[in-house]
Amino acid sequence: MAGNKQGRRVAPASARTGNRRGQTGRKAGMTPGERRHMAQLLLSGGFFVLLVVVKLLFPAKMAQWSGSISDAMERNMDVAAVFSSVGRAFRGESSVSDSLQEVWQEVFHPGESPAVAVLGGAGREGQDGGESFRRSLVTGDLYSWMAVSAAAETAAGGEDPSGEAVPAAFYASEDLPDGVQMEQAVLGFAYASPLPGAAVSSSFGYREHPVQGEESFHYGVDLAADSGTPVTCFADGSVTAVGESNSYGKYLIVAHEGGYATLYAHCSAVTVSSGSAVEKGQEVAKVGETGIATGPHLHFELHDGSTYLNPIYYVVSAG
Amino acid sequence: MWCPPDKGRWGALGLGLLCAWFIRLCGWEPFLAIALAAAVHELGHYLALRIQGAAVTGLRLSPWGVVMDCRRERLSYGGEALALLAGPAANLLGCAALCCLPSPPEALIGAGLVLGGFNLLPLRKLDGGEALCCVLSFCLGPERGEGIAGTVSRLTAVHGAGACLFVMLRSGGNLILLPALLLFLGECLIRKPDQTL
Repeated sequence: MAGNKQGRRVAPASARTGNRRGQTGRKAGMTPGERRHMAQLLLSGGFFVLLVVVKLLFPAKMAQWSGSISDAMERNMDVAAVFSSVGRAFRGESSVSDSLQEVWQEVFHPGESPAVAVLGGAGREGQDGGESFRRSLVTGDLYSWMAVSAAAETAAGGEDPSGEAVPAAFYASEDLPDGVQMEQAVLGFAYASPLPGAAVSSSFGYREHPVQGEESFHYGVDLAADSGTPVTCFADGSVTAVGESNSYGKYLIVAHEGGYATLYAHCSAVTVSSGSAVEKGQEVAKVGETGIATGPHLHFELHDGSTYLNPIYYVVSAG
Repeated sequence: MWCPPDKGRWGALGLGLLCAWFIRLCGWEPFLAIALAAAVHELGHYLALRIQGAAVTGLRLSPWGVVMDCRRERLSYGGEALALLAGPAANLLGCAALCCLPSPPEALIGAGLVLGGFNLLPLRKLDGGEALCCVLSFCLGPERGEGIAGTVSRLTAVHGAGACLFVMLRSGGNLILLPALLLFLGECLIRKPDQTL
């Protein structure tokens, strides 16, 4: 809102037509406006020339800067998710603290799994250099094959195997993003696959993103199932967050004993509310394709505090 | 959004760039939600002005949004403050109305609340800062009121700029906050302390 300014000043005709300079031919005849425009032109031209010179002299450095800027432009908060969090808090659907956590997650961990930040992860921002790591897809496939075979031999549910962990042979530790563990962990509690019998459509590890097309790390496993198939809880615990984001769609996070947590994403509906206690095998959601998904499936993640574990050992049934 | 009347020369270009920046980084849906919230916000200002009998002389575009020109001669300090606060109030009422729908659009509700809340910041370019100036001017006189409001505005701008910089550096991105940072920096560096309404 602004007040109306009365009596606008109009520049004299000579100033508007600019004929003084033409008549006299003197540089001193430039009006302040013309001088300002000339300065702007020189500044813009100088900046353009500077960029060209830097690009010619330091092409590698320029490419690095360009990459950094592109990365920064891609690493944005999910504004729609922030708005939704605020809207949910206003409606009383979620508590203000839950909404603040979601907003914090979206602002400081954009594009990441909500579970790690919500559960007090040490923060993975900046790790992996914005997916700078380049790895052959072939290696990832080999690992997936090995991991599935190993998991099939261990267990698909019931009590936690007390035997030795299965090592991950095809990923050297320096190739992995921070906060990722490929080896099987001993959970110490009873668990069950959230979608028993479902096929793994995408494994934990590096993969070509099915929508964005770039190679990136997949922090969970995708279990293919028809829309509406009930998703059951992995183990006893309590629901710490129910939310929705552009990338994960409708999701929920369940905290289990020992600092473990599971995330269930792309659901068509979440059937439990935040704060409720849930048991192993209890229905918590239904399979869907909300968020960034190419078809109905469950994106399932397993976390040990701020560390991403490979869920494949715990969700694949033998045979 | 408030803007001095003589600063609208590059308004359309600036607003176009702001919209393009927002759409590029956030997509169309959040942009449409914010645009709708902005329309409700301006409608609130318009209705408050009309109810008080103040003539609205036109709408202008500024780099930070839409500016409503009006004749203030018929408005008291209280009336002007009410007209200024009517924008955020309209956002709040709109969000409350949306909550009554069978399946409320949460993103739209959030957009209205964020827009209304941002406009309540005590920054002289925003409704909150101008309303504060009106209230202080009424209580303490125009000179002291504007002086204190200007100081509060600059302090807000310094903290706002710091917060934007912190978020961008800490997250290594969030360039969506760049326009807000420019707004705050402009208030810190350019605005004269004795600038009047």
